[in-house]
Amino acid sequence: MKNIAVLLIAIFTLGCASVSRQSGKEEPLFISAGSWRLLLAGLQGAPAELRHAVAQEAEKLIQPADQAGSEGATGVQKPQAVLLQLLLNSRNQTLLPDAEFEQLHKVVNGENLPLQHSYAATLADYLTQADFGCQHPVYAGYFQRRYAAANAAAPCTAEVPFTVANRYDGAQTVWLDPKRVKAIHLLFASKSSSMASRFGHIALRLVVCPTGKSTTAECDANLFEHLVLGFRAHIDELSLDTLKALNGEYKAYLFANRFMDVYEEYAIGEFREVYSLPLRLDDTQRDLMLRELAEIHWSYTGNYSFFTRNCATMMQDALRISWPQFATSDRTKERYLRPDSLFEAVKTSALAESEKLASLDAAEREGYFFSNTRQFYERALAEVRAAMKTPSFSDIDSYLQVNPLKRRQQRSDDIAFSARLATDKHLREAQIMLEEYAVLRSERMMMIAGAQYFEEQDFMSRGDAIRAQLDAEHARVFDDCLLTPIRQQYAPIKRLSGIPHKTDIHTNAAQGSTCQSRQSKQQLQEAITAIKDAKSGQWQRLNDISRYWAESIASVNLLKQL
Amino acid sequence: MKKTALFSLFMVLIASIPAYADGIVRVQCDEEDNGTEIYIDGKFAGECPADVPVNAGTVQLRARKAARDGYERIFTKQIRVVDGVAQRVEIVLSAPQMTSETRLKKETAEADTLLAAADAGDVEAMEKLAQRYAAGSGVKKDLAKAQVWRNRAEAATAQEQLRAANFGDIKAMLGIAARYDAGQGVSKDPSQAQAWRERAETKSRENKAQEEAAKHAKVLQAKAQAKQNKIDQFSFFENTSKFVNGAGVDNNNITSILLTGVPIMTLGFATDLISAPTRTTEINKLKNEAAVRPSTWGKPDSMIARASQQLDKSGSAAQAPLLVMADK
Repeated sequence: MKNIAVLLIAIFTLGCASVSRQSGKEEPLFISAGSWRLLLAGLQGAPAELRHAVAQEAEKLIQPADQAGSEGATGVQKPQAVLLQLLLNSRNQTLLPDAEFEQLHKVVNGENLPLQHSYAATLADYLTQADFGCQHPVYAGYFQRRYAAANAAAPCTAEVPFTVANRYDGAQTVWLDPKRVKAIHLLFASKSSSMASRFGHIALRLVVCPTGKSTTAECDANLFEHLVLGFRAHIDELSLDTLKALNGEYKAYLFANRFMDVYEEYAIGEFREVYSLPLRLDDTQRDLMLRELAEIHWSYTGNYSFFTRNCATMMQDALRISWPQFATSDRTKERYLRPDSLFEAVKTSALAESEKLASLDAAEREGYFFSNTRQFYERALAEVRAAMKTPSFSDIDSYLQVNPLKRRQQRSDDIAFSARLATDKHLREAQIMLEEYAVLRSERMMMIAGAQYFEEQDFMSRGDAIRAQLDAEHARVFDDCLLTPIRQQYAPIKRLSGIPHKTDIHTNAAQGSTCQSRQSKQQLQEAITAIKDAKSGQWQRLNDISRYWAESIASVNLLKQL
Repeated sequence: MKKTALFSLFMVLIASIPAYADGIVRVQCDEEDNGTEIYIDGKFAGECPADVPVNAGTVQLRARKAARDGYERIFTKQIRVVDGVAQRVEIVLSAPQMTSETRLKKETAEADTLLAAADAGDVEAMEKLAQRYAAGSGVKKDLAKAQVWRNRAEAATAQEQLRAANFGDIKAMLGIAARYDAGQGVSKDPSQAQAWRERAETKSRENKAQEEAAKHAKVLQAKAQAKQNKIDQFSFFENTSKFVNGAGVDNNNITSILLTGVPIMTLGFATDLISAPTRTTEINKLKNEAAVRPSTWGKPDSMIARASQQLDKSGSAAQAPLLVMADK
């Protein structure tokens, strides 16, 4: 049983709106004259070909007034609903999806909706919504091309939202002004021994400036606000199921993460190199690419197969629709299945500023290359060892194996070493670095141990029995702060129709803040204590690793005070 | 015949009695002490055994017999003599004792030794010498000299006390303060006396603080021991390697989890579980610093290092922060 899925459903739902595409309800195929007049008025600005085709379809469906009875019987329908009915029943090729739409639809939405329905709904929105271009930049561009719209829609100046995940804050929606994005890089993390990353991982990096008027240097160094957009598998269980991975049974989304989280994950967590290759984009291309990527971020669901539909293939698809030069370049015409191959192809094409990676030393200075940090930790460890009288560790692994309390005690027992820590900043930083590494490492272990504990406890199935053991207040906290979040994470990540408006974004902030209160945490602890199985190995394991983590944090704080 | 002999003896005795004496003291001793000199009121009066004619009244009898070199055995007794009555005295000599000449010689030699030691700065010798001058023992009695040596002894004692005081001896500090008050061994100086009293107080406080510190150190030691016990009893750490090495967990699986995003709920749950005093913003701050430290430390000219500096400088990520960054 894979109940652990409860935990591992991605956190991205937390900031997402529950808006979903309105499905076209099958209505009688008649349009009242009033409804048609209203619709026609709304189509005045539409491309002529399109208006004409719609009118042809409408003529077949307009109900004569003497047959319709009073208008009030059915009422005047909204233009969008009328149009959707009309389009869903049309056989006019002008109003049906073509091959390009089919391709775009796969990239933007995946294959989760019937094509014709999607086309009808999207076209209806295009013809009736003034800000369609801001919500659906990919489709807006397509319709403009297909129907040769004389007047391009007003340029969209709105900020672009992304849901960015953070381990401790959960997911939050950030609104990004495209003017603050100075560059877009192709980001490549070198391979690891993991099956999921055997050929590396590829994504896009948004170089976000502190403000719209920042200098290039300020933008480059603003790493804490840079974002990474990458297609990732959504593995909703603890263990990677190889068969499912090969069969494409895991869902894929275009996730947004803070660059520094990605950097920590790869360069520190997995000791991998990270390369960042600037793409040659002008301001207009960059603005459009950003908006189109946002549309994909909010709408796309695909199936992730580690060898045939992975971060590299999906990224190529996205780049092909949002960057014409990528689609036509000789080096990138081919479909690459491996991230490293794709990266190499782009690097050796005219699409990117490959010279930035000619010297890795220079690239590291300028923010195009990020070292694997193992070398720094090993040097730090060597310096700390040399300064200690009798170090009880010989390498990073053995350092981590000494429990944090003992490590702290050994430092304070070694008078000369303690004295040096207080005066030698370089040594102190090295020592802090090692303790911070212990924090990062144990944090990963906490996630594993936590997930295993939840799997073992199977709170969802035992919910009623557990509630029966608790008083009303504790049962409520148990429901609100444990079961409800679990349920939310069980549910699939909700997809939206294009880029949402601010009003579309609903959060669980109120509930979240209630559960974050000291009292709620206390009550949840009490509830867990009341039901916990003291003999549970997972419980003990989670406790132990949590203490290791907390003691390592305490050590870092103590060392900083020296 | 027998009667005749007794009579003759009686006559001899009668004949030997001075005509002016009122009484006789008949001095007898053991045979081995025969020859012991007899003195009546300090005047030699014959050798034992002897009948010594004395005037009536109280007399002081002293008997003396020379012993080994410089020693003698003596006997003294006060005797009341009555007219016409023979007073019989049995001499029992004392154990050998020093003769006065010998004692004088000895005391003189001792005084010479004391003088040499006192001249060399021996305070005890000075004090003894002062006593001898006062008593005339081994030296000629001389009260002025006695006072001179007493003064020198006090001055030397004061110097010794001063040295001890300078080395932090609180008793010596109080002693020297008293000396400055009284002008004993040092020139009278109330301000010096006060200064030494204050130093004594300060030192006393310091000593108390040190004692407290020592006690505190003991407490700390006990706490450290308790902590050590806690460590020793922390069963998990015996298996730390299992956790940090992953033991088959941290290879494919953890990477996969991170690929999907992070099960933050388990993290939040775990931190709540241990009632970690660390807040989310603090953890984020720590993690930001942890992320930049390796490159900042190992490669100070890297972009990561510059990013860290820029963040430090700006105090926040940007004027219009994209992400909530309460971290720095």
